[in-house]
Amino acid sequence: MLRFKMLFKVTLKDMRENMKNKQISLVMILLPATFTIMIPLLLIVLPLKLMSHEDLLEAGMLVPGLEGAEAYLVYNWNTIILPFFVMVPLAITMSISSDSWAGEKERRTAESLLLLPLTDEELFLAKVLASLIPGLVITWACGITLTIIIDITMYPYLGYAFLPNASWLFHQLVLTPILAFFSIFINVWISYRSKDTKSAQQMGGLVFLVFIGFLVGGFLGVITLLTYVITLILGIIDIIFIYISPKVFSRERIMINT
Amino acid sequence: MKTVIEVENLVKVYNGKTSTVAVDGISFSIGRGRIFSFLGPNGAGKTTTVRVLSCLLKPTAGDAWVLGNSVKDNQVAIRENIGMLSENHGLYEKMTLEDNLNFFAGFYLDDKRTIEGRMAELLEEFNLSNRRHDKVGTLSRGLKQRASLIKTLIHDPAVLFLDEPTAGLDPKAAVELRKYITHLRDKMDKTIFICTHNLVEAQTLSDVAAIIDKGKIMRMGSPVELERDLFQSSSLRIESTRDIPVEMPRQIARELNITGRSEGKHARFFLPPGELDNLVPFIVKSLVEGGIPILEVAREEHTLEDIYLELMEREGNA
Ligand SMILES: Nc1ncnc2c1ncn2[C@@H]1O[C@H](COP(=O)(O)OP(=O)(O)OP(=O)(O)O)[C@@H](O)[C@H]1O
Ligand SMILES: [Mg+2]
Repeated sequence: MLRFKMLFKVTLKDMRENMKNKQISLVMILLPATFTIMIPLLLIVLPLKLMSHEDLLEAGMLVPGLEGAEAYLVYNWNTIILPFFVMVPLAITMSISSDSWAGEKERRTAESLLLLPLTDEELFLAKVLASLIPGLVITWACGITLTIIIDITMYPYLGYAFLPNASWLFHQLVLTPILAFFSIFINVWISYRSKDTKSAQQMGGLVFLVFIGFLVGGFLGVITLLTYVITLILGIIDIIFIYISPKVFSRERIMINT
Repeated sequence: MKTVIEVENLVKVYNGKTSTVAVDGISFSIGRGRIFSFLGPNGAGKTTTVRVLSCLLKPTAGDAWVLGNSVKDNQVAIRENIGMLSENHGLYEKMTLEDNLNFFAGFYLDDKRTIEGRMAELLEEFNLSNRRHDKVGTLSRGLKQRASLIKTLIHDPAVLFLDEPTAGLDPKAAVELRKYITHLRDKMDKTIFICTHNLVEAQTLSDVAAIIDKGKIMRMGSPVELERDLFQSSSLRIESTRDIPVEMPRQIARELNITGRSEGKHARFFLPPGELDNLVPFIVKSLVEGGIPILEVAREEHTLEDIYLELMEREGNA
């Protein structure tokens, strides 16, 4: 039986520490600001304001069956904003989880943590939660903010609230947790095997390959199909990770490569 | 006397690019309320042994039990009952001392008031009450060491592992700590395992000391037994007005098939029992002939230091 009350003490300690970590807090502020405010304003709101009537007619050609501002919004939403938004859960969880074990080793506190009367599974899970909770909370907060910004700025053009729609809900409620888990598992593992945070981050950058998949999908115009396929594959990988990780995790490994 | 720590043919090999046998088949047992010292040079395997006993490393072969729990399959039960002072202080530097202690204590004690009580008492004992709200990163090395001791003791564990407890402490703090360690044994019935290079420490504190080198226990016993066992003999201390070259006493000792060494203006020889009459004149004569003026010749009691250096010397010659 996992003793959540005990392992949560480690999670809380980590979350407090991370808020004081400059690099992590920078990612947690800059990334949401970019994806929820900067990109929609620069890509959609401002250009629409500056477009002439002819420009809008031309924009209508972007998406068959739609016209003007709506076509422009849907095109940019599907090819750019939505694929880029996967960066939010990926980068936040990566910045936190690459520090999870490597940071303890670097600051020479790993041994104290390993001496605690927790099982290996509990310790491993405590570190996963310390990335998962902020990763999900921040991504969802960004999602809600983006929804509000898009709806308020686009209502005058569309006459209805564009968000939330089905693909956005899927993105937030299904894809986000799956992506977050994926990034955390990979990065906690890399962190566990690295000597310090820097080398953990270099390796951990690999998770952004997933993001390229989404980007390509967006440009090919097959966003939905490819999204579902990638989500399914990542979901399966997550389940394998959840099953295997606590069994492979060992204190000795952390002690020996400190 | 109940056995609290039991070690049986323990082997620990580090498998890296090259494999290192850090602990090579050691066995011993420690009774309740005893202080056991592990004495040995750098890289002897002291820390490795303690890490196996505290379930941070798995034994390669053999087994060990702490309070009846095997390190192989009862790790959580062991961890709940031990306190470990490691080579690194292990505190979070960006957190205050108080937050650190609350964090660590919270895994063993539920009641906030109990934690607060113990914290206040230990902060007072180690003269850190006034630094309680400071970030650990702002403490000096010695203060961090004391803070780490509080972390080790805060949950009142039955078994303590202290890896070089007085390293980095000033002499006064070191003396006070040794007194406190004795108090923990005598008044609190704690079982204490100390790793040290400090021979005086081992001599004054331990009920049993083991000398370990290259992963093997060379000698084990009470400090008194160790002395008797190693030297049913006496030691001869010679003082000169001049520095004695290091090679000279060794040379003389070799001729007599005994051991000897020098340190500045002193030379020291270990004599087998009953041969004082033959050997002393020869040693004095050889030194004088070697141009060393002699100020004093005296017989001396052995210290653990003698035993240790003697053992290492024999090891080196072998
Ligand atoms: N993580 C590790 N990986 C590989 N070898 C190691 C590791 N830790 C220790 N060793 C080796 O194991 C041997 C014993 O080391 P250990 O740290 O137990 O010695 P020690 O007696 O505590 O020494 P010191 O007095 O310097 O603290 C040494 O040869 C050391 O190099
Ligand atoms: Mg050591």
